[in-house]
Amino acid sequence: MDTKAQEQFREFVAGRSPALLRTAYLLTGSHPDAEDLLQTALAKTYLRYDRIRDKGALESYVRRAMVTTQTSFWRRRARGREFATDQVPDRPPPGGEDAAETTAIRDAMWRSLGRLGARQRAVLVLRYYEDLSEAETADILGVAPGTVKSQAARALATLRADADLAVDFPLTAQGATS
Amino acid sequence: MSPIDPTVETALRRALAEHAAQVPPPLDTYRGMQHRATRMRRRRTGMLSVATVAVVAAAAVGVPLGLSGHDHDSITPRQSGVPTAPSVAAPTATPSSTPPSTPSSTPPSAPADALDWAFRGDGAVRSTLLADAQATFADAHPGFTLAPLWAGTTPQGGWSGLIFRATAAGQDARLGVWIAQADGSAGSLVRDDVLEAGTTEIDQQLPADPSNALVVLGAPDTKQIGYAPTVDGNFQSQRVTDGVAVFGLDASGVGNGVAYVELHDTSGTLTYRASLSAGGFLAGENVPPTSVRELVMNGLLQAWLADDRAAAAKYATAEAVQQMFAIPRSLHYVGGDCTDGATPATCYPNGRDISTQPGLLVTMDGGASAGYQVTKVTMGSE
Repeated sequence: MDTKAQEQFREFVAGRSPALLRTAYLLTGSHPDAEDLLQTALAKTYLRYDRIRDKGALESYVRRAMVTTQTSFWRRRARGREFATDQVPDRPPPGGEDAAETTAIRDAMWRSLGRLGARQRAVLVLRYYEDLSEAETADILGVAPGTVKSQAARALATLRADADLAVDFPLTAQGATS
Repeated sequence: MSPIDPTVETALRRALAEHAAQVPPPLDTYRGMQHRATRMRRRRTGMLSVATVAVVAAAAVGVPLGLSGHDHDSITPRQSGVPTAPSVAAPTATPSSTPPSTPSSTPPSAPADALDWAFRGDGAVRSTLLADAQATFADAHPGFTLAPLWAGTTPQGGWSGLIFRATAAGQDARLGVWIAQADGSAGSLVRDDVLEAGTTEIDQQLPADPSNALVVLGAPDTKQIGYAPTVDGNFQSQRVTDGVAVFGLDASGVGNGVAYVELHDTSGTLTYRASLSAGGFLAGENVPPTSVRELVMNGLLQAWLADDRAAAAKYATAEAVQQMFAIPRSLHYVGGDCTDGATPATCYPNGRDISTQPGLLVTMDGGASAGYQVTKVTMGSE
């Protein structure tokens, strides 16, 4: 990589790292793992930079590397099925009952997300946080759009049926029985 | 399937957005990335020296190819001496006993492509697993036809696995791995990657209770398969008749570091060598656990994560054990490197650059022959 390319990559990292780190956090569930995942994905991209023809697609490349790394079987085995989180539960939030309920729902949803498999979780993050289409999500995951659709449906069904959400989120329980 | 409840989607979007908004900006990602890239490069460079480490040093030219999405780092095979195969699964000599590589006139071999491999393994296991694997795979990839490449059970018989190739007209071939309990229950598709043309080695870790297993598939004419848990570890080599080897791993087998696999054909020619990164293995019985710094670091790490002070004492002084166990086990530490050469060695169990973010810092004394021992554990930044 020549000096100019290095500078371009440095600018890309500086500009896009905050957003990419947020996605990494949603994929991993903890700040240290998110930093670890992002740096790994960026390093893989950096080492292949000269072979990436469409530099405009760099962010997509990094995102794909993050998802692939996070969902790889070896990595999941290495980290076990646990879902690391540095959120502290059960802390009463300021703002009264409504705020408490909102926070409870959000935290219940977060815990339920953590119980999903890495691939299903990635599908939800890409579809509902990144707002990618089924086709774009499929491209990143390297699967057919139909697979994205079915995985998302299963993941959402799992969330609906999750005991945590059934308790903390009555609307979800209603949805599950409709 | 029932329609998706829009309230769940709404709540999901809100939860994702709110949690994402809590993420602080990264400190110095570029610097951390550079360190990571340097380590990746170093690993590749390190693999070039594996030939002097491996007992089964061999001749000639091979086809080092990794599998898509499997984090393989391949290296260019070199000319070396013809190997002397050890007995099945026997530990081989230490790296220092490896003779230097010598040129060979053996012509380059061309291992058969995985796209052309026939089935190898246990036909009964294949029959047990195939229907479920096919049904699940068809859900993800309609229209693909499955061709089993291998089926078998782990050494303890607790788990069974099916490795297959899937093809469909006009689409990339895919590689799938289905694992299930020995009776075929609780099956799941654990791997679904593109199978690239030119693939001549497939490896797959299979879970098992009480141990794990590594299945290595080479081209059918592969006669010897070696596996080493780290670049400094001894190769375990198996003579094989059908190009397949199954290595039993330590019970705690999924740990850290980098594992290595290499294959030799009938003439002893090295045809493939690759690292298996992103979650190698802890030391097997054949690797002295204190002769390699990364293994010492990871041994201590695993003992800490398991809240096993007795196990930790094998790797660290009493004071260091106390320091380690005073740290809350709230984070997941995987991977990690040690500084090159220096004693005392400094290791980073979290695999991150702690100059930019807090992390574990492990210091150890000793040497490869006498064994390493952790003498100090701290949590913080450099």
